[in-house]
Amino acid sequence: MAGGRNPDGRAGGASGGPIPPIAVVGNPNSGKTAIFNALTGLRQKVANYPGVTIEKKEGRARLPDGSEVVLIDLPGTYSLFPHSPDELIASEVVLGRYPATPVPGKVLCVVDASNLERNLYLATQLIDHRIPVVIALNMIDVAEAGGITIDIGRLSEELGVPVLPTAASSGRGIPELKAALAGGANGEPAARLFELPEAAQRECTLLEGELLRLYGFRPAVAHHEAVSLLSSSPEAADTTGRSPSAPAINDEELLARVKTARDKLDFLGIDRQSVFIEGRYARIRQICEKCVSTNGFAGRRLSDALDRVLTHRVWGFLIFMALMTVMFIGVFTWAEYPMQFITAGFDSLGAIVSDTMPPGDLRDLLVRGVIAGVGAVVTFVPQILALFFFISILEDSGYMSRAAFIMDKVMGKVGLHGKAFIPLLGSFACAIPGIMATRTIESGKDRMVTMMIAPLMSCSARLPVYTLLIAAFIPHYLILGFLPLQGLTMAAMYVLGIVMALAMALLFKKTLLRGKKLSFVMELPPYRMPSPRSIGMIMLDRGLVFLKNAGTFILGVSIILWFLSAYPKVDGATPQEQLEQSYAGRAGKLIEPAILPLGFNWKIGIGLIGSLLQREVFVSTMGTIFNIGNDGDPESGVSLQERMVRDRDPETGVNSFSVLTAICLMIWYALSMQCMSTVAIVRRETAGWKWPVILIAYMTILAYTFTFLVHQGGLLIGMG
Amino acid sequence: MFTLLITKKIMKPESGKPGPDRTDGPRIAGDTNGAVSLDSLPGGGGGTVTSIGGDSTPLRQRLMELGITIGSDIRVVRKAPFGGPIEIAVRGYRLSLRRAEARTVMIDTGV
Ligand SMILES: Nc1nc2c(ncn2[C@@H]2O[C@H](COP(=O)(O)OP(=O)(O)OP(=O)(O)O)[C@@H](O)[C@H]2O)c(=O)[nH]1
Ligand SMILES: [Mg+2]
Repeated sequence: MAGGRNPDGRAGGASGGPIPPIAVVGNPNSGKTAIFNALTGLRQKVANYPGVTIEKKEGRARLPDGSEVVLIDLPGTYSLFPHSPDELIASEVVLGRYPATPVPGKVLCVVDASNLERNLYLATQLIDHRIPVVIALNMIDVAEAGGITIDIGRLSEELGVPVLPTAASSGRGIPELKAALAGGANGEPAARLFELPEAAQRECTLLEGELLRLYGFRPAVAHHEAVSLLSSSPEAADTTGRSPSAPAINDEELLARVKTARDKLDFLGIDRQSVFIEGRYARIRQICEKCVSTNGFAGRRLSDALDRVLTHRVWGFLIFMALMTVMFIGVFTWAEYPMQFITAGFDSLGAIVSDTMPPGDLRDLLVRGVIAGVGAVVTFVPQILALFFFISILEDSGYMSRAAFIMDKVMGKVGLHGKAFIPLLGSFACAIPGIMATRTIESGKDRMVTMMIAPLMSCSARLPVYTLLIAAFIPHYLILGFLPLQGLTMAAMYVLGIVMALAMALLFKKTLLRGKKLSFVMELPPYRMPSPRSIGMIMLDRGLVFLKNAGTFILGVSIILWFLSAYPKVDGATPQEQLEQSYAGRAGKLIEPAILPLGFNWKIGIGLIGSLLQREVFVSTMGTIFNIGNDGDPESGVSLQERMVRDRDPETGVNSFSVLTAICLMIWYALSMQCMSTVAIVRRETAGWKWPVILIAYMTILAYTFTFLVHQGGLLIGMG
Repeated sequence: MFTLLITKKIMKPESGKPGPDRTDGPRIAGDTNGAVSLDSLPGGGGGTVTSIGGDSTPLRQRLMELGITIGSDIRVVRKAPFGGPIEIAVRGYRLSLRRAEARTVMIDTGV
């Protein structure tokens, strides 16, 4: 994250020039991104749990007056005094001191109408910072359904800023919101809302004046720093709300004044930390009493009924386990049929090309390199879609937070932060968004532990590897007549990743990242019906990303690999000998001594080397080399799986793969760090090479040791 | 430790603080006598917050910002098994806390 110091809390600066952007802020899960999407026509991720957005994202919106304005979608925050890296981004952008981001001219504050009191905390804080605010009273549909009536005119009057009712998910109120954003009413609030004891008020105003005078801050920043300086205790000077990118306040005279002011307030028995917060909530309560009426039940009845089952002390846990099992078995089983369909398609494509083109290197490259290589990977699109189908239902329904609630005790046992659950579950899709999602974790060390173990969760890139090996080597068999052995093997690989992740968390927590207190304060949003449209969108997006990768990166690697496995040409050699003599074959032979104890021969070695940067490449590599090395015609309609099963060393007659080899390979891929993008993202998030190096080192050692033990153990009991 | 915090709270209303907070609920010194910690309440139990401990820690700040202020009403919705977190209802929404955090919040159950 951009942690660079940016002393630009100062007035003037770069505020001239084009129209300043509008920042979209609000509490987590209030619907900011839904509103941002509705205004800009973009498709950023929306889901029903707090902490979905963890970066700032920009988009353009055309307003009714014809002007175009930049909107900045931000992570959710409960307060302008941040507690975690994602909240810090939001508050810094709003205060106009985020690197390379202009000071927002206006803030669109998204307020959840069904949760008004707490949402107004941030809204009134913005108003009290004298930041121009327009309020979108979102989820108005939810509030109405729950019997909450809000007098919007009155609310706007009390707050002194425009308030527009919206229901972002259905588009209601969006045109009016656009008009308000364009309108001359810039939402400059008239007066401060919260009431402080006189002494606190006086000290605050004095300090603000000093900060303005000495540092030339803009008024919002001066107010922010004054409150921050007054409310923090001297010893905890930079824990609460003091952002690392805030300008250093080191004027001796000023610091002396701050100390006197603190002492004065302490002497009066004023709790400096709570006084600012309680004054605000008291005022909010008054406002709500004037503007809000509730009749009947507050609409959480259905949600509560669901929770009674889903977070039940016995059922809740069992249901969670059952859901996970269904998910992993389902991903394997349900996608099987469409997969066969795609395989057949690529096979006939290969056959057509072979039939129509004259034999030679070009035909070979196309059939064996491009079609077999890329085709082997594209086959797995249905599984990727199935996985994202499951994950997006979990995310959209509100179940994620419940799962975190149920599993928190387990997480706590290994020293993980309660919020670590969501990044870890997200890592089943891909470790990269998972690692980014750790930004919601307050403590740096807890965040680091989560980042270090997230890559152990089996991501979607391992899915093709698992599937290929399971389909080829694990028999079709129903345990107890209904549990498919293949699906269970898949589930077992996921469990292996989870167990190892928890064990490593414990280890890290006991050694490198020792820390004490762990907190877990998390909002539980009401359940919502997952929207088929947004699930469809996520599946479409992810499917396209996967295909794009297959068409670019994997295509490139496949072509390179084909060359490496076809050259240098050996005259009169069998395909097998040719492969052995090729550059790729030699590389495989070179590392063979190191991997033979794991049960992998040089051919598998080629796959391991090929997939150093990305795990899926293993599958395309297998597609290419088992197409080359095969004695029969590659076009004869024999599937890759079968070719892998049949492949044997021509001299020794030993099969390349046994069931044990397949299991060992899956374990290797489950535990090893073969993803450069993950390494890159860890480097970015930790701003250094230390942690990425530790990550690669520990995962490689773990994978090697564990695979070795399983292979040797398997040989002992006579497998393989 | 707790007594110390409580005395601090008792002093507060006497510091000449103007009215609005009072609407949040009664803040009479006597309340704190019968107060119990939030984690000791059974599922379904509830009451009014009398103090939030943990002297000026970031956690205390966050709990207050989330609406757990003195005088606010809290209900324990459920407790996860085996000493897991608890779910509370405060200011019309749901929040989950670990028990150690809930221990810092003192509640007057009104009995
Ligand atoms: N019924 C209803 N649901 C909404 C509305 N706006 C958003 N939602 C849903 O509320 C959830 C949260 O929406 P997001 O847009 O992801 O919220 P956010 O504020 O960006 O959340 P974070 O990025 O986590 O801070 C999603 O499930 C949305 O579909 C609304 O007006 N009405
Ligand atoms: Mg968002």
